[in-house]
Amino acid sequence: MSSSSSSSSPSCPKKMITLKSSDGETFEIEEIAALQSKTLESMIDENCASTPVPLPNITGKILAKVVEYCTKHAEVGADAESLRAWDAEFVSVDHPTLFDYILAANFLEIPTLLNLACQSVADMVKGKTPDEIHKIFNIKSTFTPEEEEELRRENQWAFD
Amino acid sequence: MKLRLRSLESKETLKLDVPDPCSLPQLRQILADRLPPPPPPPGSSLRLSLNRTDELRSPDPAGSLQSLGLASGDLVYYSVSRGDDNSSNPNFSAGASSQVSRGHADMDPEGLPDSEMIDSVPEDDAREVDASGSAEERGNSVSGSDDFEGEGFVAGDGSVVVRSRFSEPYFLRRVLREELDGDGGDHRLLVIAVHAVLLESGFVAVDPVTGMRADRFHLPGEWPSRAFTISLQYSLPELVVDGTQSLNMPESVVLKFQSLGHFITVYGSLAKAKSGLRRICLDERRFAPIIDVMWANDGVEVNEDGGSSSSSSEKEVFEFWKIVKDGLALPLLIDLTERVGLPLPSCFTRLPTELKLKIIESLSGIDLARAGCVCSELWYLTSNDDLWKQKYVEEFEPRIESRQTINWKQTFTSEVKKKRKRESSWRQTLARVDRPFYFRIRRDPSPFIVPGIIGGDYDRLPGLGVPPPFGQPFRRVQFRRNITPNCNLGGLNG
Repeated sequence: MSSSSSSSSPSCPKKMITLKSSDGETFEIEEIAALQSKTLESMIDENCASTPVPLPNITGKILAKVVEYCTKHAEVGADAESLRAWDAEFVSVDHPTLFDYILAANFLEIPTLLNLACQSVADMVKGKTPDEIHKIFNIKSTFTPEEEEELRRENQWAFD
Repeated sequence: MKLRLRSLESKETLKLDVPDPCSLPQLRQILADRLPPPPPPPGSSLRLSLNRTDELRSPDPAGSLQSLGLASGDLVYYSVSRGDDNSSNPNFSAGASSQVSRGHADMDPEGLPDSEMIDSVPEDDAREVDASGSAEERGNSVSGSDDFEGEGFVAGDGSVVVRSRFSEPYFLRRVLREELDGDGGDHRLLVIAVHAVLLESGFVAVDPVTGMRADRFHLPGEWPSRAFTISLQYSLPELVVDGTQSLNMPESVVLKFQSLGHFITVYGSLAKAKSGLRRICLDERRFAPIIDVMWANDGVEVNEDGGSSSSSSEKEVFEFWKIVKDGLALPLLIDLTERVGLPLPSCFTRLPTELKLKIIESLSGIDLARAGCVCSELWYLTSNDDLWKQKYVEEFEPRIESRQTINWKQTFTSEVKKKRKRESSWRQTLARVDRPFYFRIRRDPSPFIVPGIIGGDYDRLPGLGVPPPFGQPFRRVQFRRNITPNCNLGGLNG
């Protein structure tokens, strides 16, 4: 945990750290919220977070949302039900954005966001046939028709 | 020191306690004394090997086993060879060889597309056959033959063939190694394995000079024993139109392999833009043995030592795949498609392997099987048996007792089928029972009225004919269980 003192009284200003996205935008985030990211937590511990932290893998658009997520989840007193609803709303985005969340959460090591986003992608796959999966994710099939036929036969039990 | 001696033929293992220091001839003598009857024919000698192919030789007959690299607990294979043992293998000190990891028996095959390697060897094969005059069968196909099972090895010099069914891969592998003089073999294996991953990722090989699609590379016949550099070029199918040589060569990807000691570093970058250099480092000692045995065992299911060695080699192959895919293939694919303006691969494809795994881990068994039919990468990821073990535990049984090697996907599949059968037969049973009983035993057209007739079933079960309080057909099952239906009791009902 961070050794620097968090605000002990409401009048003290909250400790903020600055994050810099790949396209040069800067974002401020409360230290408490930043602690959800293991990467940022270790930087704070080692006192490397006094200057803007460069994040070359994350664009401004995604970083803004990640900051929003961490801030929301650092709030005290939020009830589980409304948080779940907020999360569901958070991941109702287009595919590229959702995958960008996954990559950002992976890079910043935010387990809650990573699990949320991965689960959301898995939910898209559930109950779908391979053809539907092709369409949803725009994945090219690399099988020849014969191979595909054989695979179907082998996995016929999954299609019954 | 204690050594384990295993017969290549019978696979029986003897445990020997040899004195320290012990020389190779002494070991042979001790082994000969310990061999079960019948004793080996006169004029023959015991052939010892660490990797089942190359014979253990010592430059100094009195040299100790430790000088060959043997240590206590090692597994050594032996076979009886007939007289002339003029194996042309130059491999002297088996201990220093980095080729096959000791003590690791057969491993399960993996689906690495290694057609290149197999294509390039038949010529060598033919040469060696003529030279040795060996009497083993030599089929046309060099891989995937249905006859392969168990162990066996062939020595081109006329040594006893233990089981010739296995002859092709081992023989070819040995020839390959002979041709490439030990070290070269490992380099080649790794280069070809990296090539395989790139092909799987959607690249096609191109000839650097003409820019045309190449079906196979012509890897140099002579590999310098130490440091070497070789470069290969790749492009995308959309950029390379077969049969035409483009004047303006499109962008492509260049891979440079550099070896230093037992590491191979692979650099990848765009050929023209010369930007975005990607680099991975592969430890030959770690990966070459696994790939080697994988290829040699192609088409074979052998589990001699149980699951541990096969699953550990699968894990190593997966690690290799991950390193090459995430470090080279995927980034270069993204770079190239971005550069030439083609649509990028799908978001899912662009994820690192670990994240793809994380996503599919939360799928159910059925969804996993369906996902495996989507593309070859997903097929590989979903073929991981540990994943299926996890699914089996989640959906069927929380405890696993057996420690044998189990194919978890098959186990899961058969459980699903059994469950479905049970459910459908139960449904059928319910459907039969569901028909109201009064049709079967009815003697009165209006079953809901308590019949005025005394006797028969109505006496035995006074409540019969009256609908049960809650009207559930299920209750009737319990009511009627011990009664013979339609029992005609002497025509009481006329």
